[in-house]
Amino acid sequence: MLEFTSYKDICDNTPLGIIVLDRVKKIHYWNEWLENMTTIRAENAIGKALCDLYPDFCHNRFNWAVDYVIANKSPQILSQALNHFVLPISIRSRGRHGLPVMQQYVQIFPMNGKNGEMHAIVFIQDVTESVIRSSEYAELMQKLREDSFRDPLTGIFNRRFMWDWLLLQLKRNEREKKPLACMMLDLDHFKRINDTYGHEKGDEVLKSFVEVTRRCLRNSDVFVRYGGEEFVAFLPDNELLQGIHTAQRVRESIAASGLASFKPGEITCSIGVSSWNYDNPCTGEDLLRNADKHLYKAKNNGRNQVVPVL
Amino acid sequence: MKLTESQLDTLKEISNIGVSRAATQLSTLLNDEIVMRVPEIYFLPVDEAVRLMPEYENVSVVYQDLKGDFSGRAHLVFHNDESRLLVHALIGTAFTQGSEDMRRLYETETMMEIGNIVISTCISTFANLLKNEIVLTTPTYTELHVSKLFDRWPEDTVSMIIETTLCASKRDVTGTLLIMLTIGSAKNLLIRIADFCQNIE
Repeated sequence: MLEFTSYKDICDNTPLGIIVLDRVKKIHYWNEWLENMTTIRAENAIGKALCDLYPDFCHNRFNWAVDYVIANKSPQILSQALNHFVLPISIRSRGRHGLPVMQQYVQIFPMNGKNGEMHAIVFIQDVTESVIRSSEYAELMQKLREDSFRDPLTGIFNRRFMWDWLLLQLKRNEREKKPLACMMLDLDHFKRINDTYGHEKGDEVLKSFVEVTRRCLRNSDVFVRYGGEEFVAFLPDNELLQGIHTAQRVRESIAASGLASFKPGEITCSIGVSSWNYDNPCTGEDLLRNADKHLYKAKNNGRNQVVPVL
Repeated sequence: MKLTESQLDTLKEISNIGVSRAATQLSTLLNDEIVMRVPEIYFLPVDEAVRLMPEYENVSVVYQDLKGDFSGRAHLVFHNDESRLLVHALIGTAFTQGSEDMRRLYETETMMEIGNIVISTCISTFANLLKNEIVLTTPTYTELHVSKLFDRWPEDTVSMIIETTLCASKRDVTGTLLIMLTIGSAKNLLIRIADFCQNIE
């Protein structure tokens, strides 16, 4: 059997913080792990209270738990989820997570002292890594979720998002008896731009088209890349007439802007406008089909114009 | 084993003191005003107790074993959905981000500490007022079918069902404190209650 020098050696080699406190919360033991983590030597900790070592230490839950353990000889746990930490141990090399203090899971058990006096033995487990991992994971998941709804080139919503959103929105409109205007937008002669100047230039045009159009929309409007150079914008709470006004504003802004270093007027767009209202409802598919049909009327009429469903 | 009205009243009174002490601790911990009440209490054989429990499919349970002058087990039982609501009500919805596994981990940790506080304050209130020594083991968290809570106990086990309502500022959550006592412990409890009532008189 392996012989240990003492129990102190075992405690000092344990990857946990171990503190023994008496009834008045005076420290009787402070292990090596704590010395390393806090830079407070055992000889400077023993005989003192935690508030002597950390002047701001005032942890009501911890103090109550220690009193409870000593009075009732039963354990207490302090979760990271509810307490974050007990001892304010600074993290020396802060990573990109920016957590300034070690996150801790703390367990307190009763322990009989030599003279029969009850003590509390406190075990402090460093759970910072798992907290960071879980928050990084949460961020990653959130980002993945968002990415799956976004068009990678322009950053606006994609078609997948649109169908989910539209279904819920139409239900909301029905419940609240509110209207919804829909514009379908298409860049005029985009194929020609792509063929003449290359796809890179084409991408640049798409990005600046989105930028300019976005400035004409409200934050509550939903702007979607429908595919290629075709876009859809939904304007909640807007009747057809308001939709036509917004569409005109977009068309004028595009024509007046020099998109991707083209001269103003060189790049234009055509827009079809449809709408949903409580007295004259339709499906999401019909709403889009109507806007699309009128977009093609705008194209056939000579482009750079708005044609609404009248 | 039947209890008189006045014995039941005493048990209810002690439980109320216990849960209100737990509420004080939870209020400090969560920085929210938490009130806990005991609307109803039952003291009956284990096979009758199972019928009195809400017919939940799955429950979230924190339990600690009792040792010392009483032996048995104290559980804090919440319906799975209620425990989720409780965690929501107490610490907000920040924890709902992330994967299902993480959410459960967070919930488990939170429930375990809340269970630990509620069980230990209630049991120590019983122990102190009835002048007994009851020692608890470390808390354990589990999720299971409600009937499983009653499975492993001998027939003569006595169950104390303490209904508890926890009112946080955002919502009220109902749970049950279920205490299993060996027959010897249950008899001891009744003697202690009789002594306690006599001392008050």
